[in-house]
Amino acid sequence: MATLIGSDTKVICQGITGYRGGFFSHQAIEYGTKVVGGVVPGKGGTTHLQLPVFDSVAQAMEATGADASVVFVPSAAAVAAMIEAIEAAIPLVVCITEGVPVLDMVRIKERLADSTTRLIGPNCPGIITPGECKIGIMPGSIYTPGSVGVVSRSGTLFYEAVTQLSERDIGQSTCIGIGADPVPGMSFVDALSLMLDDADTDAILLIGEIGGDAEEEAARFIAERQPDRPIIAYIAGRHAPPDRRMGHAGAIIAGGLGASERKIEALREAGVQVAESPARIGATVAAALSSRP
Amino acid sequence: MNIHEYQAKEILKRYGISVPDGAAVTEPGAARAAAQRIGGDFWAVKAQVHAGARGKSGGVKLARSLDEVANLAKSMLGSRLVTEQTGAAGIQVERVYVEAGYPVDRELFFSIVIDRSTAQLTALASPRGGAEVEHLAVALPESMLSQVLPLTAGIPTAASNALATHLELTSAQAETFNKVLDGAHRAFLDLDASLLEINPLAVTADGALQCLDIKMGFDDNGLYRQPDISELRDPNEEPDRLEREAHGFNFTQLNGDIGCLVTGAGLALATIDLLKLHGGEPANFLDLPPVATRPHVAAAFRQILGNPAVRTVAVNAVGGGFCHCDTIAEGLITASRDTAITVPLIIRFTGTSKNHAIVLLNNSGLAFHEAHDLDELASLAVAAARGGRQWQR
Repeated sequence: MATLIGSDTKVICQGITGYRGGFFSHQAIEYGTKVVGGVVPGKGGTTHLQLPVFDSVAQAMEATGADASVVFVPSAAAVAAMIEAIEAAIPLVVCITEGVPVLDMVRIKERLADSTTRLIGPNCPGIITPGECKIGIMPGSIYTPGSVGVVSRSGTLFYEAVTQLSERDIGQSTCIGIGADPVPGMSFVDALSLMLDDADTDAILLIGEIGGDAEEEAARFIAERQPDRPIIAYIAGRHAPPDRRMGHAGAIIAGGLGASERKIEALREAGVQVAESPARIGATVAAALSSRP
Repeated sequence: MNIHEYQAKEILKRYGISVPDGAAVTEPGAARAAAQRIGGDFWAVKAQVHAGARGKSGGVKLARSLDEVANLAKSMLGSRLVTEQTGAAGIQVERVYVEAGYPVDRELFFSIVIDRSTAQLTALASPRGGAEVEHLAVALPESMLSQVLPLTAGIPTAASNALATHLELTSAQAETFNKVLDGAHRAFLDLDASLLEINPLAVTADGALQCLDIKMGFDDNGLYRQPDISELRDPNEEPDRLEREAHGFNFTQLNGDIGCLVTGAGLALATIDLLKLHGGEPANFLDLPPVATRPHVAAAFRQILGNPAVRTVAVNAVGGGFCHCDTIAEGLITASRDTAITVPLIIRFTGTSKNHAIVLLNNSGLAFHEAHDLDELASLAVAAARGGRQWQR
């Protein structure tokens, strides 16, 4: 299979009886994703969308053999839902819910370090292996099966980039929207590392934006790894309005990182082909693919 | 969300940290009375705004007499303070903090932040604090020590010792510092803080340690469980936020003539970059969140049209996730019923409900030009702003 998910992936939805959980589970099923059940504490034993509902992730995994979970519960319950999934040692958790406090994410990262579970999100569109499995809120119709991996912090820019690829008949192996929260579960480096180990991925497109230093870390990783396939990037925010700020600690801890020029420069030095314009993302990937040795 | 210095000091007092005696006041007479009550032979008068670098810009001044306290308060109150961190417009000073003065021997820097790159709670300390700390951290990186802090109360001795040693504290000062460190750490964890910065943490002439300035900021995502902190919000400091909460979108005014209505922050940033690459000048940054409803979209459109500098409006919507193009179209049509649209409207839709959105627009009678990709959107918008072609339906 491609990266992380494929046609055999069995998915449960935490919060399946909620409006969003239900709506997007229905869409996933229509796309062909093997959705095998839902988890809603207190509603175990009932059914929803003709699927069994369980009280806990552990019960759902035992009964269905699920190996991925998508979290749609409201923000105040999302942390408990993610921790429950991590404790059940499910291989993949995708948290769509936004508004998770950053200190809770720092605590969750600590748990992830001692766990085999991988977390995508929170506050993200999710992950899709086109034609096989869709876990998240992205519109399935814009994706085409193929061999370019895509990883993005922004949601709408993620869809824009994929649309440009599909319009040029450039298919995608796996696309991951990691979300733009300050402390995300999966980072660019994690996603790049997985995609570079995937035999079905021939090139990787990275969509970044101003703020934080995830793109600079990706550049460091790429420079060290010397990847055997092209990596293309677009970084949004070159002309972003300046932010008001308070105090010095934020700037000190970031060490002058975060500006788009710095990110673009770091990526180019690592050998990444950076698209100048958001309108040229697809064209830049096409050029990189055709100039491969 | 950020809070004022006087509020941060009140909070840290509750966590066992001693701060100089002071009072927040809104008029000069009260400033004089506060200084009289505090006593001593000099006082600091400090503008209460959500920004740093106040000292270099006249926002923090020392007074040697009660008259001087009142005069300084009078000149600061109602003025607009512009510092390196406020932006050019500055911030109106509504309140000053009058505080006991201390002769300072050394200025130290101490902060707790979440380091995004390591996803760890981190203390930062420098023996060379004060107004130039940022430049010093770049020029002399070894002056800044960072220590990972635990996610439950209680600082490991190794960390507190390392910080105290780095700050070159005597054992008596280290004892005070440990209380500051412990209290600040507990406050950060309890209150969902995103920033806690004590600068300067001053060694005074008599060898004591004093928290002369404290800044605190909080994680917006944690506010739902921090009702006491939410009450400290100062609406005057956050005009953008008020707009966002009232209308459901992010809006920042820029200096150009192309109004921008875009779905999602990343695409909004990219649209601004795109217009600039085509030689255009965006009039605003506007990011509709995925959950925006028809009234949100209508309010966004009206706000853009309300700017007299706008010569055209570029709409860039990518349907996907919770965002549907037809909702955007409905919002534009709603606004057009009560707001005269006298500038060309360029619309680019793609993704979820795109076709339905175009049908709705065609049936509405609203005049618009459809762009089929990003470059076409930008070139049409730039041409429209320049008035360089016929803009008939």
